[in-house]
Amino acid sequence: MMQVKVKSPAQTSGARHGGPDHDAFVHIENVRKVFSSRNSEVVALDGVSMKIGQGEFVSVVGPSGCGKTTLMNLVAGLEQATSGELCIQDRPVVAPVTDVGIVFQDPTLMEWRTVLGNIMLQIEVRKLRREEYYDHALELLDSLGLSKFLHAYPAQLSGGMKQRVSIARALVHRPKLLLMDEPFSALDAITRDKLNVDLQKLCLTEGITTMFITHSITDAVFLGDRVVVMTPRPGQIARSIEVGLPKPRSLAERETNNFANYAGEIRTIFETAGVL
Amino acid sequence: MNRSVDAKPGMTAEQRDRILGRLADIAFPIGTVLTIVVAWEAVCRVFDVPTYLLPPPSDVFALMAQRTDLLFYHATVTSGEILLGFFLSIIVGVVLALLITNYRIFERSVYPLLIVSQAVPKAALAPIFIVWFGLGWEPKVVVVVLIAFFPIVIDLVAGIRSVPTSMHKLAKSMGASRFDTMRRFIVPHALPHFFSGLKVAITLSVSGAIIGEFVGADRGLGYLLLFANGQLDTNLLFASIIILSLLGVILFYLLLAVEHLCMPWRSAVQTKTH
Repeated sequence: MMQVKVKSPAQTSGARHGGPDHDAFVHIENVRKVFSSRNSEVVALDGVSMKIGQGEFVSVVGPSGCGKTTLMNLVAGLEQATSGELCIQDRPVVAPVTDVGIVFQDPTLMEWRTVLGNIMLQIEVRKLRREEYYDHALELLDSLGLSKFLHAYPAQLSGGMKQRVSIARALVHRPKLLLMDEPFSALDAITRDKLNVDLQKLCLTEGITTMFITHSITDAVFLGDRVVVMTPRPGQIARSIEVGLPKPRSLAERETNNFANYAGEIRTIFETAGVL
Repeated sequence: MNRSVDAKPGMTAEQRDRILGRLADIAFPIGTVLTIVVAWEAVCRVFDVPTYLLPPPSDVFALMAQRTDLLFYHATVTSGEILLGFFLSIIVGVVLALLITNYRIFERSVYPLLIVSQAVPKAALAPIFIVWFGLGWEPKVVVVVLIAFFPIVIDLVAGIRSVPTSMHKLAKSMGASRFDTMRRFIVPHALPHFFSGLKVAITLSVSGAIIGEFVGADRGLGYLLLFANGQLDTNLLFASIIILSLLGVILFYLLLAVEHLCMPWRSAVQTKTH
């Protein structure tokens, strides 16, 4: 399945971030993913190369159908690339990655478990010691403002609260990598802003390497240390932009010129690609 | 979730409302039944309806009080057939549903046949089972299983298939084994579907047992019905029907109770939204 290719150092994307390979936590090199059915082939990703540094928060932004979710599935080892190389900590990904926390667009909570039960599911399935992670679970729930809802069932929570539970569940076992697939796209604007702030704070305290997939330019710039811009048909990386704004960032900073410049740069890429 | 917090003695207004609501839930159907019984009695007396056509309920109840032993004996026979058939249907239904959802070959071979099999009227098959298995409880149980397993399979398959892809991905990312995925993700997710299948199955089971007894039996409520019919004993006929209906209702509510026990989160959420 996985071909190891020797590649020329002339890289278009990812080169800006530079650095030798062993710095990269996630290393994606010239990955191509083709979905083939009986009489058609769809190229979901083509020539995708990127790196995610240790502890880095990378936003991947692009319109729907640009292969963002496929890229995340590849990183999580839930699907295999047609060709190219994909490594996490220098080990090729050939099976589902388990040292990871995933947040989906749908909170995917177990309606039969309470908030705390949903989070501890992560610990139970992994057969980790409950006592060691219980306090961390409470800490996470506290910083996500859910302390009062430990014993509530998902059906009693609002959409934003459900997604918070899902985030806590993704972090409770202290994974090395956090993958988020459009986690805020089903939420209203205000809830979304609030979650942006809380997520930023949480990722800073946990210091976790994060791949955040979104179609919102604002969310991508606000949260990302770096924004990887993708364009569709076939899914490709157009540019990787370092966001030089110090963290933590406040919501008000989104109205500053600096912020607008980054957002504008991304918008221009989409306009050039004919997406916008 | 506040329940543990305000565990004060006495009753809060909320609790009182809930208990009153519960009482109303029980009182309304009972009131309806009582009204019908009174109307029935009144019609029989006012229009002087011949008892062989429609006996007044007072006569029927009198007979039921008189011949409790007889009715109870036949009721236990039929209940046994129903319950045995119902439990066998659960086993057959669960096994088939697991095969269909886990192995493509069963999905493609068995599943379409199942649907077609429902076109065969089960009552028409009952005489063959009498030939094969005799006049004992066996052919009745076979008819019950044939009628009742179908909704269980269909609903359980639907339940297992309704597990969202993200849940499967989540299980994989947690490194869950096949068994763990089944136990912690798929089974609880499919449980509500499973129980709606069971609710249909239990009512069908009652019909199945009666059909079996109609075709050939020497005991059971279905037999008693036919016997009473042959004797033109309308009182006994109605008594049998009442016992049979009661049996159906009791079995259904027992199942509801089991459902509540198996899915406590559902009742917790419901009382909250009331």
